[in-house]
Amino acid sequence: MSASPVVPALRDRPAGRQPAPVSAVPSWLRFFTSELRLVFYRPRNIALLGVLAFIPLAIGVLFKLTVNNAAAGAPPFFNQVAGNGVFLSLAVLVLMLSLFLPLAICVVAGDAVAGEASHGTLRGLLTVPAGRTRLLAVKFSAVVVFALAACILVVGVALLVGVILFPVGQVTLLSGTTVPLADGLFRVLIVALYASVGMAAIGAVALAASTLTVHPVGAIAAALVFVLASEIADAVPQLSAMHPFLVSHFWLSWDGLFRTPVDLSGVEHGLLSFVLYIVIFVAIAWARLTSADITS
Amino acid sequence: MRRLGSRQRWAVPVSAVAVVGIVVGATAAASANSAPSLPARTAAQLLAEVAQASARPLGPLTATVQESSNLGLPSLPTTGNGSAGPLDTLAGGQETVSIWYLNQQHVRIAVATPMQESDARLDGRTLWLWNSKTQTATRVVLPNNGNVAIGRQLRLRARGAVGTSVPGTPLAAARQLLSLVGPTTVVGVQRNVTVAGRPAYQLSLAPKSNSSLIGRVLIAIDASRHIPLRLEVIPRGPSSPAYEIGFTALTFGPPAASNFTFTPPPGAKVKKVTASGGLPAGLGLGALLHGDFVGGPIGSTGSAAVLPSIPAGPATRSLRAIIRRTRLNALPKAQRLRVLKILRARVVALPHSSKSKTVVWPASPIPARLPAGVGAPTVLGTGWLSVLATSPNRSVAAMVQQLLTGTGVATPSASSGAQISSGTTSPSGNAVFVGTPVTGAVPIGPDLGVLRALLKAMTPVHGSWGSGRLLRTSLLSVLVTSNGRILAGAVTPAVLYADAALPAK
Repeated sequence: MSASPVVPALRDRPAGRQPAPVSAVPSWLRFFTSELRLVFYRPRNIALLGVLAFIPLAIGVLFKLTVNNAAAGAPPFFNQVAGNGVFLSLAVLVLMLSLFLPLAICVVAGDAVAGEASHGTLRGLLTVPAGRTRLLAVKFSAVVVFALAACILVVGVALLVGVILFPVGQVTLLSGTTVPLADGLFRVLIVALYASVGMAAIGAVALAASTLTVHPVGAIAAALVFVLASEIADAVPQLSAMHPFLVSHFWLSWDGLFRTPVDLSGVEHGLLSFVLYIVIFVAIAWARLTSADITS
Repeated sequence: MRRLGSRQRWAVPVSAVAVVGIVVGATAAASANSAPSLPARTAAQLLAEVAQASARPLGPLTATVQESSNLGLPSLPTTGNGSAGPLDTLAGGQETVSIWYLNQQHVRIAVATPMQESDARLDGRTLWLWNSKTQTATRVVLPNNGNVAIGRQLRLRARGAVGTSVPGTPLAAARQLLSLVGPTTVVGVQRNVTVAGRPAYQLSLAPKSNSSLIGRVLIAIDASRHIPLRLEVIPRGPSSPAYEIGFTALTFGPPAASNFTFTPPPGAKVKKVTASGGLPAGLGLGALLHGDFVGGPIGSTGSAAVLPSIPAGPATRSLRAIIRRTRLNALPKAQRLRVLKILRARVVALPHSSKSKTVVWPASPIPARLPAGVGAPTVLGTGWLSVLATSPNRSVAAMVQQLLTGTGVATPSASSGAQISSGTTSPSGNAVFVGTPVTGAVPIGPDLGVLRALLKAMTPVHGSWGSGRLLRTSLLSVLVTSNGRILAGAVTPAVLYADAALPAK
C-alpha cells in the first residue's frame, strides 16, 4: 500500500471515533468513505478498473471489424451482437466472469487486510477504538462496493460500445420471443447485480485469505487458485456431485432470465450459494482477525 | 464479545459451515421423504391403474422432464459441435426438457441448455422451430391431415409414448419395463415417495437372473393420476441410478396461450418448409436436441426424415445413441440423397404403430450407419436377458478393422453402404482422412472418432464362440465379433458369448 493515500486516511479515522457513541453512525460512514477513498483512489485499482473497461471496448471493436466471421462455435450471445448491440454486454460478461472480474476482486480483497499488515498500518488502525469487527465490516463493504462497481462498469461500457457500434432494438430472448428494449436493459441490469453478488462471494474468500497472511500477494494468489480450482472442478463431469457447492458454479446461471417464461431457479440457487460463501468466509476472516496477534 | 477466546471465535465459522451442511442435508432428506401417507396398494393394482390411466388423455399440463445417466462409458472425444449430444448425455450428463401441452394442436417443447434453447411450438397447422444458437426460425406448414398426425406425435411425446419405442418421457419408458413383469422378476411396492412434489408409489422390479446387469428398476407412480413420474435404472452393485428419467415439475391445467404462438424475432434467419407428403417423423426430442431436423429438407424427402428408434430397453437405447451420431445432414448433398434413397427403400412401419399411418424408420438406426447388407438387428433371448444382435457381416468386420488400425482396408465394393458408414464429414474441419478403395479419401469425422474410441476401449475376448472385442459398462455389454456381428444388452458378457455361439438367423 503506497504511503501517500494511507496517511491522510489514517488521520481521518480516529477523528470520527473520539466523541461519545452518539455519533456512531457518522463515524461509521466516515470510516467507510475513507476506506472507499482508499480503494478507489489507489492508482493500482484505478488501473484495474481501466483494464476492465478497456476489454469490452476492445471486444466490441474487434467484433465490429470481424462481424462477418462470427463462427459457429462463438461464445454465447455473440451471434446476436451484430443484430442488437445490447447483447455485447451479456457476451462480454460471460467472457469476463471466468477470469478478469474474479481476478480484479481477488486483487482488491486479498490486499484489504494483508496490505495494511505488510505496510505496518494495520496496527495503527487497531489502536484506535474502532474495533476489529467494525474494521472487517468496513473492509468487506468496500470489497462489495468494488465488486458492484466493476460489474456495472463492465456491463455499462459494453452497453455503450454496443449501442455505438451496432443497431439496437427489441431484445430477442433465448426462447425466440422478444421483449421491449427497456425490459431487456432491465434484465441486463439484474444480471450485472447478480454477477456482483457472485464476485462479492469471491471477495469474501479473498478477504479471509487476506487475514491469514501479511503478504498481500500470497492472499491474492491463494484466492485466485481457489477460484481457478473451482472452475476446473466445475468443468469435470465426473465431479458433478460437488458442482453445486463450487463458488463458480452459479456465476452464469442467470440465463433463465432470458427465457420465456422467466426461470428464476438458477438465480435463486446462485444467490443462496453466494450468500452462504459470504457468511462462511467472512466468519473465518472475523475469527482470524479478532483473535490474531497483530504485530505489524 | 471482547471476552471471547480465540477458540470460541473460531467456533463461529465452524458452526456456520456445520449449519450450512445440516440445512443442505436436511433439505435433501426432506425432499426425499416428506412422507405423504398413502393407502396400501399391491403391484397389480398399481399396474392396472397405470394401464387405465394411460388409456385416458392426460389433459393440459406444464412439465419439466429431466434425464440423466452415468453409464460408465470410456471417455470419448468431444463431438466437434460443442453441444451436448445424446452420447454426452449418456456417458454421464443430464438433459432437461420443458413441455407445455394444451391439446393436440397446441404444444410447446423447449430444450434448455446453458445460454441456449431450442423450441418447437405447434399452433394449429403451423409448427415453428427455433434454435437460439443459430438464431434460426423454421416454419413448417403441415398438410391438412398432417397436423393431426404431428399433433398426435407431439402429444404422444408429451405423454411419452411415441411409437411406444422411444423412452421419451417416464410414461413410455415405464410401459416398456412393465411388459417385463413376469416370472423373471421380483416385484415390490414402496409407498409414500415424493416426485416433482407429488405423492407417489414406487414400483420396484428386480430381475431374478444374476446374468442381468440391471439390479433394480424403480418406477414412481403418481398417487392420484396414476401416471409414471420417474424411472430409475440401478445397476447390480452400485446404489445410484445409471439412468434416470423423470418429471422434476408437473402441474396440470392449461398453459398460457402465448407458449404456442411465435413471431420470428428481428434479425433471425427464417426458413419455411412444407411438409407435403408424409409426416416428419424426425420431429421430437432427439431432433430438438440439435435444434434441427434429422435428414435434411422435409419437403423434398417426404417421410425420410428420421428419428431413430429402437426396440425396448435402456441398454439398446444407449446403443442407439452411440450409433446415432451419424447425422445425415452432415453429409454432402449428393451422398445424402443417396442415403435417403436407401433409407426410403427400407422404411417400414414400426410394428407398434402399424395402425397409424406414421411411417418411421424401423427398429434401429444401425442400418443408417452400417453397410446395407447388415439388416435390422434381431432380439435374442427374452425379458431381462434380451440381447440385440445383428447378423455377421464382412463389411462391418472390415470397418471395425479399419477403425482399429486406422489404415485403409479394402471394403467390399458391393456394399453401397460403405460410403455412408464412413462418409460423415466434419463441419469443424478436424476430419481424419483414411483412404479406401471405394471413394478414395474418406473423411472420418468426429462421429467415427467416437466409434473408434469406443472400439479401442473394448477388450479383446475369445472363446468357443469365436473372438471379438467387448465393451462392458455398468449397465451395458457390447460384443463385436471378428466376423462383424454386433451384440448388445444389459447382460453379463457370458450371455453375449452364449448368444454369439448361436447360429445367426
